[in-house]
Amino acid sequence: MEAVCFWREWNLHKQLVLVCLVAAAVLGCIIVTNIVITEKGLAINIADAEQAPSLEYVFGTDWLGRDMFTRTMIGLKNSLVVGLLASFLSVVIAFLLAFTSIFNSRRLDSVLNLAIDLCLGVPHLVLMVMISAAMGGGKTAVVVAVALTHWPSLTRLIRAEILQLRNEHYIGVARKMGKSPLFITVRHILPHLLPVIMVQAVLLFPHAILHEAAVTFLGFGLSPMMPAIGVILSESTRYIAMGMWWLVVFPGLTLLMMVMSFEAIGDSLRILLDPNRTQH
Amino acid sequence: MPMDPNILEVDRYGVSFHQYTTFFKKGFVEPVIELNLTVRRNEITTIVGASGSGKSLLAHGIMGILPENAREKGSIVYQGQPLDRKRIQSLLPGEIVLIPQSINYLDPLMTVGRQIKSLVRKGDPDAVLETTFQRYGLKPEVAGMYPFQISGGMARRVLIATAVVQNPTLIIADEPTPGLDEDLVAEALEQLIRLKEDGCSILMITHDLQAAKKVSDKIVVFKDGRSTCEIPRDIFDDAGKIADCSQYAADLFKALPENDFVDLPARPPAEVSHELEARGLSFSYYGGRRILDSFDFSLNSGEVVGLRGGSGRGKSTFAKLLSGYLNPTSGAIMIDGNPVPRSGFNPIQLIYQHPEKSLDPRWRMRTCLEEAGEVSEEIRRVIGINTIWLNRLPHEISGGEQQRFCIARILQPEVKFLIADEMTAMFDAITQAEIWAVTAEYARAHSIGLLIISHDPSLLNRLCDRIVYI
Repeated sequence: MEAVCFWREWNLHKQLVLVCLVAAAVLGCIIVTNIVITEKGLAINIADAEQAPSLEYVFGTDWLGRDMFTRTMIGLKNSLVVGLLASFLSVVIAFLLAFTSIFNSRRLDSVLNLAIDLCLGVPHLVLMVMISAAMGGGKTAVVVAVALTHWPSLTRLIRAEILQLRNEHYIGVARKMGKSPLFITVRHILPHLLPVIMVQAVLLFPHAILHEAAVTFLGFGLSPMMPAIGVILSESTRYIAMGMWWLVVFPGLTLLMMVMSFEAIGDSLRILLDPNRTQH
Repeated sequence: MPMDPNILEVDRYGVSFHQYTTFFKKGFVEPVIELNLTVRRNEITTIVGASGSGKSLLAHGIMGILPENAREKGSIVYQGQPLDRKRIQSLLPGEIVLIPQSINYLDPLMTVGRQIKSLVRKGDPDAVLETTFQRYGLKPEVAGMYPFQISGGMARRVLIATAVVQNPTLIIADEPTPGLDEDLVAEALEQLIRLKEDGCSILMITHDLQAAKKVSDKIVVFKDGRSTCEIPRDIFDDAGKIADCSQYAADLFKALPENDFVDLPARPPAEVSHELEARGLSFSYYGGRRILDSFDFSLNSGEVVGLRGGSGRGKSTFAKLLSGYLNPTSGAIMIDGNPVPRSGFNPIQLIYQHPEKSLDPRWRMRTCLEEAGEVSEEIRRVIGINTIWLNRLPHEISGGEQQRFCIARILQPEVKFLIADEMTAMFDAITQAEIWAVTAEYARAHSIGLLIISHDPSLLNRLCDRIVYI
């Protein structure tokens, strides 16, 4: 009965719980498979090559007879780690850069703005491929490449927030009540920034995963030896024409599901954390 | 067929909103419970009530612009027929119009004249514009100006012009007077009377009871989502008859500065006396027009001084200069001949018109209250702070309650002078009287110099030892 009531009136809070559950399920699945993984799972088994999805091989097998489910899960794990590191790193960069605007220095501000404009002026993917290639590829290179290309828009957002906060009446009142700049920053400004940063970090995460996959797909990212989603997709494209649709569909779908659920979490959080919301 | 004397009848009207009550459940909150009122043809009917009493929701309901999650009940009958969303669509634009609160409702990128002409539906737009401008004393060149170029008084007339060119039958004037000085209020009210003479029926919404008394044929008092009573013009000054109708309405009338209001406590002999002095104070923003020019002013401990002046004369700027929020272009501000310290707790504190902006929206009221230091039980009691408010967030208490916190938190031992910049302009008469009573009492008892900035002459006359003009 409870369940019926739960679904009858759909609303944003329930949606948030659902997407969290989906994300948790995907995450759990990835973690469990990565723990229980055996040599057999990754082994080449020509006898079972090119199997369509079945009960034994849920996602089918590839041209070398490797189990696609295991490969997808390991690929997702690699993507997750890269995504987490990259989004965390770029949030840190963005926060530190944006925070300089609290010092109210015009010169610092114009330098920062110039850097933001420069970075935004070059297409993301081109810049990422260049950075990753210059660093010789691999995990570190991809993380750095994604982090270095995703800070500008975030910096701009945090900066705008700080500039707006600084002009709030209650900040002025606090100053006139003899509060130190440190107190005002820690007690008044940071608590307002944290939700913004949190939401942006959650939203940045799927973005970073997608970009990692893109760079890897283009051959400048993770090494082909690593079963990353980008590598799987790029190798599999050659086999689509031979009717092995499962090689692309399942890895692609799981990636999509993960990205979309994290996006949905970020979006719902953004709305939920807005103190002025009344509807939805 | 005789015309129906009532143009608008609101019968048991209620508005509720569908929103979250717990994390998963949505329920209904009901800010407007039961409103009854009638607007008679060719009369000015005024709705008076505290903020949150449902005034604006009613206006939005009549105009059909409530948000999506609102549910209405009861009925609104316009000229004998129920006013539902469909009918509003066929009536609008033009038959029922809203005069907005401020010039911000105009398109900033279009000249005033073009905006008004675009609203004309009958006759030649240019001719209509010309006659309307003449009627409201607007010079023809105003038509070529952009909204930001016109002054407060002109803005009122332009806003009214946008309404009249549509040939409305019913006009809803939403807060036509707040923040305007005495002359502009008189003018805004004068315009409403003219509209009435032109044959319009007017529904005015305001928290300014004084303004309402001057022009209304009937005042309806709202409280907490209910209409308490309708007071016809002939008993406005008859306290007894109003009390028969509703005690709240009677209290509201009694709290006006021209009636009971607050008596300024006597000035006790001060133990220590300080003098706040501003000499030759001038100010301009980045080389713009001088907002203040060599202004001299002084305020003593325990004294209550009023500051008056038309809008745009720099009253608020002066308040900010005195309390150190702005730095003067030239001139000096001194306490007992010494410059005011630039760091630490400022002995001159400013209380803003908008308490909701002076409180951190994420802080509990207890934290807000004790931001500058501990606030004694005694001050909390004198200012009238209820202990149950302390654990709430600013948006969970009313504006009047917020303002009490803003006052109490700066009553530290270091404070020597208070500047109240339109401190109660946003509140209803009862809240206004309560807040002034506690502030004046505290200032007198502790020999704090109080500067009151207000556009309300009767309030200043009642509260101040002397009044300064700027």
